[in-house]
Amino acid sequence: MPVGLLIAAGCDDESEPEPRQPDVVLVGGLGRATFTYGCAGPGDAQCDLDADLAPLRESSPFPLLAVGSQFRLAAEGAAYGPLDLDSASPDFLALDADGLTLTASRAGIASVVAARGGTPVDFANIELVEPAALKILQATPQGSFKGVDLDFGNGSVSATAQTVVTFKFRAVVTDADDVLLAGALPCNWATSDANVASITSDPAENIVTVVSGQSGTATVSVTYGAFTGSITIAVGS
Amino acid sequence: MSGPLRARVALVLATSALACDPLPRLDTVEAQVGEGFEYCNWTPISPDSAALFDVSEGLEIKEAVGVALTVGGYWTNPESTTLFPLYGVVAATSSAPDVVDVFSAPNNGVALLARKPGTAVITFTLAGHPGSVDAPITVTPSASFIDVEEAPLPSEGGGGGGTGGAGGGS
Repeated sequence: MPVGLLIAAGCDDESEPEPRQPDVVLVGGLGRATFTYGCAGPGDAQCDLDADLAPLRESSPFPLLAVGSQFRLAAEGAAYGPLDLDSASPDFLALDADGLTLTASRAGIASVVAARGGTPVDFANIELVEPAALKILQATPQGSFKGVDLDFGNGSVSATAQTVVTFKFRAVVTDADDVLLAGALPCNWATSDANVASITSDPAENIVTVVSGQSGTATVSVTYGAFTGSITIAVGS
Repeated sequence: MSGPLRARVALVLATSALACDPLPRLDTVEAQVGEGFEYCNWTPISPDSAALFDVSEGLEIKEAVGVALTVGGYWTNPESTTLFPLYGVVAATSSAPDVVDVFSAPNNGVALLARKPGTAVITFTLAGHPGSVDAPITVTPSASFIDVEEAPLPSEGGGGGGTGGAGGGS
């Protein structure tokens, strides 16, 4: 029966759904504007809410942001419509030229201002935290068969094929209290032996897909922000 | 001076006197911190009104933080020293917007943005009333800011004074 389960998983060849954006909103200190969180890049623990690897819930309170990371905010006021963003202190939180993307530069509490025509309307405080550790989360492995030769009989299933297992990992950072931090950090995945474990997704995303290959041992490593980590993948014969 | 002319001068003088009848003078502004209260230190007006402070006593804010205040203006009766609330639109200006920027909101809301360490004086005025009140604001560097543990929550005070209730923290 486990083989049957693996077949079912392997045949599920539908394309990946679009990454879902979190619905995380911060209400301004004066109650005149809302600030909606958005993902600035592929390496954000707040985004890509894959069921297995969603460390931050969709309806979570506004997250703590990792120093060094980027994220986006969209400000809007019921009486104003879309509003412009400004940073009260660019030393802590720098606003990019696109007017939407913010870079967390220093640990602390930083205020973002929503303005219209240069006149401030409201503000919101955002906590920026220095990452203390890297965590690698693992999704449930999925299996399929390569060179399939299957027999389905009455009450039995048999297979003579090379099994291919697909792993998914996600790199996230935490603070000193083990709280997950949001924000997109520079990310890069690599494998020591692509014949044993090959990376089939964008290595710049913090979620990586690794497919097993021939027998042997490979190390899949990640650099995420200022941290590095690795996973050993052993493929048996 | 003829009789009619004298009467007209008297009328003008009386009207002028009426026009100069002093409106209550703004001499006190009390405030309560809403958003950002955990990044501020202030001296409460009294233990019974721990969330309220007299802005002329000053406010310390952590660098880079935004703070929402709900303010109320008062006139002090010189004979009874009783505070009487004044009604009107509060305006606030900063002596150093690069240190503390300020902007007003409806319902006597005022936002302070602590842009960088330093000091600034926020001057409060009330539309239609003479007088102003200066509030010295100190912006403390983020690394050296010490949150006074006893800093009262907005919900813990607020009985007296008549300022509006501010919301909670972030």
